[in-house]
Amino acid sequence: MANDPRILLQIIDDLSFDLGDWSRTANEICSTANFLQIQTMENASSTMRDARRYSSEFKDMIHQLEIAENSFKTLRRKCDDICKNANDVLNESDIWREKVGTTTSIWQGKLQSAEDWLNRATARLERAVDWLTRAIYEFESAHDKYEEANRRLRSCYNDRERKTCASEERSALVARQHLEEARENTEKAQKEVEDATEEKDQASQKVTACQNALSILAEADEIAITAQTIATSAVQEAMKALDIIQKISKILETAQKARNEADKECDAMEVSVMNGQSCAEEAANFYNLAEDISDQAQHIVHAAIQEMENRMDLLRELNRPTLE
Amino acid sequence: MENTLWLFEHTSRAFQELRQSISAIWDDQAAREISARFLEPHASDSADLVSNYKNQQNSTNDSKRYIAETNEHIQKIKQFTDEISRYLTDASYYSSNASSVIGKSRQYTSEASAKFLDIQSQIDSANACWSE
Repeated sequence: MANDPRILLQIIDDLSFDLGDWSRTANEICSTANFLQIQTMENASSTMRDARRYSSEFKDMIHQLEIAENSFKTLRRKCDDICKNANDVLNESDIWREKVGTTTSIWQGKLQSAEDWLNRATARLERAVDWLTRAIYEFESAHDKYEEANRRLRSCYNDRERKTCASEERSALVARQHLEEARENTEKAQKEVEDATEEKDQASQKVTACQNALSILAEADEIAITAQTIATSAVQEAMKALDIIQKISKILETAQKARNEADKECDAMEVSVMNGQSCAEEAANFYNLAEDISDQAQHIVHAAIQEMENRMDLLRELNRPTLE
Repeated sequence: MENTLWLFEHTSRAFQELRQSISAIWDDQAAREISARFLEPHASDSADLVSNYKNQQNSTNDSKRYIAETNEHIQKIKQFTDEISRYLTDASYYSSNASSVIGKSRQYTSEASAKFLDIQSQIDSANACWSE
């Protein structure tokens, strides 16, 4: 045990010096911890702001994605409709072409019949004209014979030497009958020519009508071919649209996958940012507690140093040499 | 912080060691009084300080790690958001194309349908050429 005041003075001085050293180091760490805490809180707050910003941007993007998906649904419906319509129209154009073809066949048959009829009517007319020519010739011949028979009958009547003209009278009567028959035959032939001519005209008109109908149907076929071509183009365009729709579908599917991944990241980010903030707050609590303890400890150190100074003053007083 | 904390811990320990070493030399009433009034509470505070600063540092490190994790998530979210944005641009471009093609198909369909009326009219005209 030391009772020597000089030794005690040295001990207390060492203690006081080390306490002062401790106090400076404590101040240093307190200010470092304060700086660190400010930095930590700022980082946590700034990260939270960033997290909110990017989370919000992502939510906006999700909204846009949903709008795009809804638009796509409408577009796909339109595409399905147009595909169906285009195919329906193409089928209809086939049916119209077939209908034009069937109608054309009917009219070709009618034309054939009309041409046959015209041929028959032409032959009938030719025969009627021949008949009429012959009938006129026979009529003229009968007329000449009739004139001759009448002249002979008149000569007989004027001949006084003739007692009877019965033979001439018979001849004149026969010639008259022949003339009548020839006249009737001519009239019949004439009527046949007129009827045959009318029939030929009718047949000819029918041929012309059939030809007109076929000409119109040829135009209709041209239109049907054009309609078929246009309808084919419509189907081709619809198929193109379908291809594009499938492309969009794949793109949106990929976007949806990215969205799901981002959703997971967002959830994880929410957790980590909250943890980050919570740890920063926890650190702040430790720092605040340390700051309070540090203030208290500094106060103790200050009082201790003061007390030690007093004690050292007393020891110095004891250690002073007396006059005795 | 780590170095400063190490220095502080070292200084605190050194002071306690000093106390320990002089207790064998100086153990009178005054020594006991100073120890009881100042040095014991100081030792306790000192230990608490080291413990709190260590805890603060650990929590700060944890916070940093979570912040780093958050930043990684943010980067990924940003990438996905950019990716989705590009997909939406592509989808919009193709949608515009599809609309145009659908419009063309619709126009052709109408044109073809209009021709059907012409064909019917022609057939009617043809059939009107002659009636038995």
